Amino acid sequence: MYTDSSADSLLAQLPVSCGQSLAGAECRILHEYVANPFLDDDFQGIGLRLGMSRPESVAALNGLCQSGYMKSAGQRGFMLDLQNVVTTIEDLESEVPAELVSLHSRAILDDILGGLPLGLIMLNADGGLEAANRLGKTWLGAEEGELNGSVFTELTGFDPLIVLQGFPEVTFCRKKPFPLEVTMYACELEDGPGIMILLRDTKVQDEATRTYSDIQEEMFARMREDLVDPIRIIAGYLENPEGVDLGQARTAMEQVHIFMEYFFLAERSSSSDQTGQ
Amino acid sequence: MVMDIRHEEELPQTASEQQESTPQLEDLLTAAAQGESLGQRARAVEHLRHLVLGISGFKLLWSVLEQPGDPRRLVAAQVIGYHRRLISSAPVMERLLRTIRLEANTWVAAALVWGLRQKDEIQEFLFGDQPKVAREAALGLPVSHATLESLVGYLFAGQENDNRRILLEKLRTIDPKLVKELVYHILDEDLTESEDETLHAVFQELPQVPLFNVTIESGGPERALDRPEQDRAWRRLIRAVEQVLEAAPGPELLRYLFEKSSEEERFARRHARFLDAVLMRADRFVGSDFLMYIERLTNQASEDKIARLAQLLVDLGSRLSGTAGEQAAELLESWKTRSAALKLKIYHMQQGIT
Repeated sequence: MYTDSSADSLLAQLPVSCGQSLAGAECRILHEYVANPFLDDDFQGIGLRLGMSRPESVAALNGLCQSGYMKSAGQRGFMLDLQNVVTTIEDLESEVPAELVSLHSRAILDDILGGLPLGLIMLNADGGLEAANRLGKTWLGAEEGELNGSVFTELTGFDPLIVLQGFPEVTFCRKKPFPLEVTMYACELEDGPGIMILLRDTKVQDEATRTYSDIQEEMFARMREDLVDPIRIIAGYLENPEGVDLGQARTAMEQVHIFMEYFFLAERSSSSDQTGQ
Repeated sequence: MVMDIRHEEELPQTASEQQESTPQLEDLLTAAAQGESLGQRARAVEHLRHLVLGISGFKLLWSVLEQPGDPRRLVAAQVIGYHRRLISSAPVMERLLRTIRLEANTWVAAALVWGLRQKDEIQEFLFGDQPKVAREAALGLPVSHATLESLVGYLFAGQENDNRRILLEKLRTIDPKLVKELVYHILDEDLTESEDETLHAVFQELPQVPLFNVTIESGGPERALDRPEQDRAWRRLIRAVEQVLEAAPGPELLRYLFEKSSEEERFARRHARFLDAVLMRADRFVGSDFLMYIERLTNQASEDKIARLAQLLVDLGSRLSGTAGEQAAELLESWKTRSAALKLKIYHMQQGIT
């Protein structure tokens, strides 16, 4: 919908400023989707579009879904989650004075990110806490007012200052007590270099993926049993009516009907309604 | 009964179409393109996605598209691209193609070409002057019988841009049945020495077993290769395929070569040099899975077949280290127990006496 430059300016208006909380890959994906908000590419399509490897596009799209920017669409595609974006914008507009949105103060940061499903911690180059939202602190299990670089290292085993020593982006996963993906970035604060730590709860995503694959497998099993075989019989009958029993073909058709009724793909036949009455 | 609508000029009117009012669509287009706030625009796009458009909506989109100064043209083009059902009939497709050819605004043209994704008709826009349009055409190009010629033509036209990468990556998904056709299209290109790099890049993306079969294993195209220049081109092509496959043989190719070599002595002899070259680089794929696969090949196999497999495994085993090397040696030892003659043959192979 928008040219490159206008897409950039729209990106800057999104609830969380792109440059601050999203990785480079996520920003590039968002740019494509803001330029054409009707886009519904899948992992492969996005990878092709932006020259990303599959793991890179999978990680970035998952991150965007968890952050509420994107949602799955169709069988494998992804779209901008406009409903969520609109809700967030409206919440911000009603809660936070517009002139304060661009300021980087601790309180504002907490206000802005408080409603989003991700944790954010900002540290300065000495490891001192600059800002952190509620989820960031709770998920790490840090006491109020005690969070800093050393405490973070104690809790996770990773020294955040490493991103200021030649590793501009470090990602690791914590499995217990619940799956958490933590990404540390080097960033620029008002007073000099700093560290931004983004925490994502991947529990829901893992569960959703598992549930989705379970449902899909079950569905395919049902389809194999209740659709594929009967259709083969019907096709056999249509091809050679004399070689296949008509009764068998009718039974197969009935089985297809039962399947479709079960999944609400066809209305229940009137005779069964009457029987029910 | 299936109704053939390919030649229908008008789209069927749907129930939801009757509910969809044109002013509402017009308002949504305006809000999406020029809404005052980001929220307003986002809400309008969300509504536009959910609309079930029919003939009146389609006419409105088309009329917006045909107004040169209308700021909503890009949104209209994207809505048409999103609701692709609208361009499924042949006359509408023709009209759309004509519009894209004449479209001066590169963003609008690119959005309309996006609507042609996975349709063969998209291929003509690959060669357009507008980079954005050509990029959408490359992204949306299906790799099919109908598009192979354009795809090969573009790759060998010396274009150095992102579209080349996109098309090369697309070749990874090619139907193995189309590999032969693709190779013959390449043969039809008038290739210069400088295009060897592209030749290698294309072959690196193709499935290796079909590529091996249509080039190295086959005697060449069925059509005559009597013209010296075509014969030279074919030999050059084979050389390039050999270089690519020998440099990075995949596990599928390795399995195929082992299986065919064990089954047919003539195959093994014909490709002995190639097989040797492949085995030089194959050790990184060989693990317990591969060795179990070789073991399965010997189920109820003749002594000759086992001997041929043993020869390959001896050649390969000398390059394996660690667990894989030990497993290969164990497998050879187990084959020795099958008969005294086989034991002697394998012993000779291991000593380098053939």
